[in-house]
Amino acid sequence: MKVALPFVAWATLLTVLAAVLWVWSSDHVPPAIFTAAAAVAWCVGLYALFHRFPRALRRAPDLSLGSALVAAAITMLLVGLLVGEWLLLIGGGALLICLVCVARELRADRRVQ
Amino acid sequence: MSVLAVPRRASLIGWIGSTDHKRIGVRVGTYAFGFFLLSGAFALVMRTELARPGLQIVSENTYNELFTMHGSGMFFLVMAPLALALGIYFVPLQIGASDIAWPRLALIGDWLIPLGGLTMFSGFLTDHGAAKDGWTAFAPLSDISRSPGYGMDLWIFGGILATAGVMLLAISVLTTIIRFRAPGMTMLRLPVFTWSMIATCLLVIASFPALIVALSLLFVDRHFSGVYEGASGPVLYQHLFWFYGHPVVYVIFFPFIGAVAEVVAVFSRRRFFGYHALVLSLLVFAALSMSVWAHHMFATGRVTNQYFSLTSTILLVPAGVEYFDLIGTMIGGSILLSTAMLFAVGFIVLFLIGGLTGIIVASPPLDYHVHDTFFVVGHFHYTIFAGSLFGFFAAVYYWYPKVTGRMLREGLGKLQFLLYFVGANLTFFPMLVSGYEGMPRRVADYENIHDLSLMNMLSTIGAFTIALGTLVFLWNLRVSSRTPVPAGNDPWEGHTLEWWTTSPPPPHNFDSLPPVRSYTPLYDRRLGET
Repeated sequence: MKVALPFVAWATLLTVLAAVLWVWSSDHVPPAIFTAAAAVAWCVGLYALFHRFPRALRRAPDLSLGSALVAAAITMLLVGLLVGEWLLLIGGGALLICLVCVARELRADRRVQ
Repeated sequence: MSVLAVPRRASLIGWIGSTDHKRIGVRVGTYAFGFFLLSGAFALVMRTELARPGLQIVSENTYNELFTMHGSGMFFLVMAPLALALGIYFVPLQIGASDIAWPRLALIGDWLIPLGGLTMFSGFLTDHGAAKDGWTAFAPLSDISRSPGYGMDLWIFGGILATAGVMLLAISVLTTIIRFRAPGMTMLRLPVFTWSMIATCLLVIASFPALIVALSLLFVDRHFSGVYEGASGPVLYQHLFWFYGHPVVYVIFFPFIGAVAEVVAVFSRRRFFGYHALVLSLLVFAALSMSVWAHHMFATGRVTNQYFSLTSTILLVPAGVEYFDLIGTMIGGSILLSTAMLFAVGFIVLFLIGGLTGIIVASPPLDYHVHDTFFVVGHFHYTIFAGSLFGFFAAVYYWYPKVTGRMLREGLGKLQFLLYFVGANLTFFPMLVSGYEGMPRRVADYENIHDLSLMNMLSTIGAFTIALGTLVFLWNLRVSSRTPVPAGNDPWEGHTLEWWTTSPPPPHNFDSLPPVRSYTPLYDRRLGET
């Protein structure tokens, strides 16, 4: 069985169910939400259809502190909306630094490969 | 294929920033279990409050906070993360991969969940206290005039962060399955648990964004303009919320039915029966479960009852196929009643009660009678606690030796099972009765009419029985770590690839792989040897 088959079939099934709801429902909101989900399912199906298997050995990281701190930075940014501008600025700065760290890690990975 | 960099020494930085999928899985599982203990403690306080009519252990305001944070904690921070923790740990091992796809993304998701949890629970420290609108936070109850203060906002942010975290983990697991399968591991040779994770991840990716949208709009609604105002606003919120809120029930069901299927097959000493039917039923089940969300909204009078009642009832077909396969595997097998198998059988029995009571709430005329009563509480606790959590413990007793290299004690495990089984039925069955008699949910006190007092007292005794079972489990973990009994690589004679490698597995997972010619490669190999 091709890798993409279950994903495409699943997306098709969601599309059919959403289409039935469009016909049945007098309200546009429920079928619109459902159609959006079907579109996401199609994205997964198309990814499975067109992805390429990694051909060569891939160097996977064993540590990425920058990625872990991205989560903390995002949290600070959100809570900063309530607490005040100072936390927004700290969160924004931290996010920027973390993303630079992750970008450097990715570049180093590519160099090794 | 991939190679890992030389592993570094264990350190705080190593613990925080490790991208090893096994460490991510253990981390997610550990803090999700921590939130389980906290949210479970809230449930005990609530059950004490409801033990007898007229009791006032906590104020009504605090009671509202407790049931809100109990439900939110269990869904956002416990069950969904636990489901993904199992996937992120075991899927690469089951498909013969050396690591996961997009490990950095998974690491971000890993940390978003506990940070979301801390954000959510930090509401208790604010002036107006934590959120108190139930885990559903329906508009307009959750608007700024009815729910003032930062607690509600922190709840919104916590929900967004935790949901986003689970989504990132799901993306990583699904991509791993699509891209990193071992040679010979075709889609129809994937283990049952891995298929259950495919269904889970598809649901997460397709339905969880709806909650992020709903909660983001709720924040905007509270602080800027009337997104959820007017007659249709609250209905819009409910559509968005339940588009996440119903599939999430299956997100926390599929991985555990997958784990239970593995346990049932291994402890029945035979291949899983009806593999292809199960795969098909999982995909159909997942698709149908996306189409039933508005059965939670029958009482609004603003949904297409026929469509949602029909799809909700059709769910019985794939569910029936899965039950048929599980029972078919046991029939004719040489059953070993280990703790894992007991929990698996407990899952099958108790989830059935949850499923059958679901038929009642899937039917609009019956749903109108039990809507917002304790019947609904009993129904979903049968599915989530008595069902999925039993599945989780089946997985824990089955895979703990692989994760740690140590055995859990069977005697203590069976005692825990007994306490959980008795406790779950004692807690949740009376809820079905009291709900049918008309006891509303989310109330801190009630009139002593019918036999509500007796039913609530039974539920409270049951809740403390479950708590005792949890203490037995914690004791079991302590005994296992203090006086370890080595597990070996394959203590159960497993069928799938995770049992091929060492316990615990090395950083790169496998030194070698056996040929994969079916969904039970190790079972095939054992048959070949005999």
